[in-house]
Amino acid sequence: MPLRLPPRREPRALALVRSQAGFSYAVADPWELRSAGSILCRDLTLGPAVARVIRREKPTLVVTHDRELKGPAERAAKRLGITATDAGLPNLPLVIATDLFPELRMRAPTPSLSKAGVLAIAAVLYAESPSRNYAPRRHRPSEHST
Amino acid sequence: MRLVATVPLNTPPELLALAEDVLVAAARARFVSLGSLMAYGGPDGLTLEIVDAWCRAGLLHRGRVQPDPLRAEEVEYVALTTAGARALHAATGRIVHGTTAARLKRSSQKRMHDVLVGEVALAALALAKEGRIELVGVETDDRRLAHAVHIAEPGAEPERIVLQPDALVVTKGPMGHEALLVEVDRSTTAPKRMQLRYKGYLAWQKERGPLNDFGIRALRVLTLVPNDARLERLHAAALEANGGQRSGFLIFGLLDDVTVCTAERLLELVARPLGGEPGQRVRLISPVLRSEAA
Repeated sequence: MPLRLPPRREPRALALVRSQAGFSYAVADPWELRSAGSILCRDLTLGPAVARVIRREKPTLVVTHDRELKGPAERAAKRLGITATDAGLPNLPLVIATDLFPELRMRAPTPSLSKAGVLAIAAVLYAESPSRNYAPRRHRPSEHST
Repeated sequence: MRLVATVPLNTPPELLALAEDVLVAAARARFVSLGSLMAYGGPDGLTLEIVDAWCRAGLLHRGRVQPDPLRAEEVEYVALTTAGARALHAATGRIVHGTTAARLKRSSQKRMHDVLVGEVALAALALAKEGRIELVGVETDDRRLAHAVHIAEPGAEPERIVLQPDALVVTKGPMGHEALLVEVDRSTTAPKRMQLRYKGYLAWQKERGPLNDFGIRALRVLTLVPNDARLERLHAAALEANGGQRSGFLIFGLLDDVTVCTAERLLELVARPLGGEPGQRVRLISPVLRSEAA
């Protein structure tokens, strides 16, 4: 029987970690570490920069442990209707994260990126997030049509 | 009834380590010419019979590509299938991605390009196997490396330039992490279009792109070309894009210098930096220090 809708790569977790001159982020899904990078910004532009990254990376779950990033992340997540959490994720050892996601060493070579990558992987493994709904299609025949 | 290989990887247990090494290398390089694969695994005991057995079991896809459409010469290549990736994971626990059917059905020219990219990756893997370099990772899926840069200059419309390098090779040298973004050129793209691409790379570098996107400061863009004439043409185009200024960020090399058989040339002075003297050459990858290797 053909699938009506293709399977989605969820959860897609975005982890944010504060660094010296801004913050680092990493995006992971159950298959791979999708991306990792650093954003340079001042305190004044931290909120918009976080919102911009969330909008760009399109996660289904945002996770951070930093107090300064928590507020902007929660506000942006609420606006986009996704989950933001900092709830007790277990500390995933780097060795295990690298074993599960071998690309972590290459995509996140600095300590800050690596920390964000491990947090994103921990969120994929342990956090609970509601799945994203498909956008309604105008011409999809209704299942409950009379 | 469909026959299924019951032995993991269709390989005797004593050859399992070889199978893991070779198939993981094939997965990371994605498309590998048969000759290069034999050069990579031959010293460890890889034979054509083993490759044939893997192809029959569906672990590897074997195909042919035509490097030059005007010549009858063909190159035989292999690629790890998705079934092969699953079998490898089941037998060894290594997570790798196979080449999808859609990629295998692409045109001969595109597959030939992928074979050349695989050649670069396999050369780096061969050097790492010998312990000559400390390889952190190789990525040959251009879709995972793609990014874009916006250029806004006064008096001109803002431009969005898509940068889609063919491969990324990350190593750890004596001074820290180093990376090479590889662009394989087969003389099929106009120098003007390549110039726009170089303009994008230079703008990306000015915006601290290497550090922001890959977390590596010592990143260079290597363009590999088939011959010296093309190298000169692209060098001139890149120099014009950079306003005549020299830069060590863009380097140029020949495809023949980066093969599995000539892998040690990666450690020699073979690449021409942008704006350097005609005879000036730089090293592509820093070797592991002897004390570290010991």
